[in-house]
Amino acid sequence: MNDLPLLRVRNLRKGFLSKSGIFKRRRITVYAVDGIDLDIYKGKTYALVGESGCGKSTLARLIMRLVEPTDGSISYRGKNLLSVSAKEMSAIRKSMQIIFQNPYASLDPRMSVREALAEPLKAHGLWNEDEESEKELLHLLGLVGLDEEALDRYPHQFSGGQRQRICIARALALRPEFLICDEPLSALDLSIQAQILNLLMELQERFGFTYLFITHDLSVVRHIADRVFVMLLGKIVEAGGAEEIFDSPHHPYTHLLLSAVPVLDPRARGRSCLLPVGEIPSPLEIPPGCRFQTRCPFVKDLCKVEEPLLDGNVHAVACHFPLNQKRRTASKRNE
Amino acid sequence: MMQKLISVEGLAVRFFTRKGTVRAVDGVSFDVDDGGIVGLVGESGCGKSATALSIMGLLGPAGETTSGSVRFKGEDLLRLSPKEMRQIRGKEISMVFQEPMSALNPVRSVGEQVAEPLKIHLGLSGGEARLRAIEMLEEVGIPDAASRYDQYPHQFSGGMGQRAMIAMALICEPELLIADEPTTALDVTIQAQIISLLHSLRERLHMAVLLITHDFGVVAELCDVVNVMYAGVIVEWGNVVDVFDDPLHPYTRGLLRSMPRAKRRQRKLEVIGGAVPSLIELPQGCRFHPRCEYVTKRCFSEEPPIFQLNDDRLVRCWLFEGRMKL
Repeated sequence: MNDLPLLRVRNLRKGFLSKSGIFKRRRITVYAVDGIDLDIYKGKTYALVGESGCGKSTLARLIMRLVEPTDGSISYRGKNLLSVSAKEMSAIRKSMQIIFQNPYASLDPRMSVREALAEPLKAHGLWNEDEESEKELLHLLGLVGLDEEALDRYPHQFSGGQRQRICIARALALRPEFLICDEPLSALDLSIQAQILNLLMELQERFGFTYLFITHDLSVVRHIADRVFVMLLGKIVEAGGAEEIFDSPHHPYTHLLLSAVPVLDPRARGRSCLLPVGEIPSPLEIPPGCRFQTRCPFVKDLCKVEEPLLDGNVHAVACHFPLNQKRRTASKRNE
Repeated sequence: MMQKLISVEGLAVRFFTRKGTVRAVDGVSFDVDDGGIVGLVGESGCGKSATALSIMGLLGPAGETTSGSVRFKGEDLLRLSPKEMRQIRGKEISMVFQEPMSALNPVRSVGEQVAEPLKIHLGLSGGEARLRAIEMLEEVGIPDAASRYDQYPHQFSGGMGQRAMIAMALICEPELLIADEPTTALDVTIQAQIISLLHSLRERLHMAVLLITHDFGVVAELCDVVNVMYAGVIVEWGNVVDVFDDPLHPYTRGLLRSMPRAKRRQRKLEVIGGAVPSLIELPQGCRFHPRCEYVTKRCFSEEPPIFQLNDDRLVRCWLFEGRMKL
């Protein structure tokens, strides 16, 4: 891990203006992403997890520069994405792609598959109206397990899983190296999710892709991720190797998230599941101190005053009183 | 032997669309015992929600229950007049939907909506209903219920909204609660709270629950008995522990094996090939045969009947031929 990261994010912030009060006079800036540092190395799979509204999708869009950050820096292969020229950015865009959650919304219903797949190539001047280009389209379809006859059909003629395959093929058209997958499975049928997950893993083996998975499904994360970032109200509260995070979460929030996942075993029912005590604070009124204080079973006075900083190198945690094995078992016994 | 509370027999639901007739539910039979939690589990479009709506008489103009019966306390719900059905809905059988925020009326206070069934079904006065509704809101774990009563749905979070929906459904102490994907729109932490709430309410109020979900994890956490649906029919029925330990139908087996387990890391998941068939053009023979790894010649042409393995295992698959036919 000594070489340069593929993607480095430092102190990234994105504020959205929110108007409140009866006459909408009060203006508050809500930070959906509030000071995030990330290092992403080539060929690995990263997962960003957190509850809805924690800012994980905003972070993905910031990295892709689909929204502009308020503050901070994003560098890709050492180049600062926020200050490169338009020409350089266009070259970088080719190597970063995003796959969205809903394959019903992310394909233009009036574009045939041929047009949808050729579009990114045309946009980057890689399209010649010749056999070579045509072959490229067939190659892309082959990669995602679709055949030639798909080319002249329209999105409505495909099932959800097939549409997601088309979206993946489209993302692969420019031969990227870094792919952000924003909840790529959650709009799909249960029996189709495993197919798409396998496809993504196969493609990674074949092309050495780097993935950033954004998801709320923790069982998927355990299956695929090398490293996990846990996000809470705009901040990363725990980061570490997938095994360590799952086996010994240090942040009480991570512990809570993990213990809330239903286990596929009715015999294990009634196992001690840590239930949150309070409610998630509104992003408009984040209390001073720790962002988890309103729901933390171990909250102390210090947590209400001082905000804990993300501390640690390999396994980092932002908590004044991180959990250790002893306290995790003790908390279970108290249930 | 537990008493049967509701007994669904040969239920069939059709939707008439421009593209053709959708056979959403195609002969479904199951029971819910007094005080039991029964799961109806399957992928989207398998007919699980249509089954629930048909039981409640809420199919709407596009859908029609074309055959079958729903016996509830000696009466067939499908033969009741709309007026008679209104007496039962919300009082003896009530329902909770997936999206609390679209199920609640945005321009009326949450408390009023929770109290409404008391006024309609039990003729309570405004003041009495308010007191009872506040108690019920407390019971489902809404803090500071008295002041929350007058708030509007937009002031509630998703989890609190779902608690309010559950309070509304349970306020007349129904004998059966139909919960259609009650936790799907919620985060896992809130889902865990709702699951534990349903467990404790079931015990305190002694009601039965028909849980409709696509999430096998939620089934494992809540249900006593599970019915697995595929393309409009129940393909497997059994006690929840048996179904998870030893799934019989190739579909159930495939699904359970394809799920990444939180405890185990494997590189490649086992998959069920293909996709769910269209309910307008169902395959001949067994509905699952185009995707089945154990498919035989017979499965192409003959739809399998239900085979009974023992008192509490049923499966709709030719692999079990020779067992007792139901």
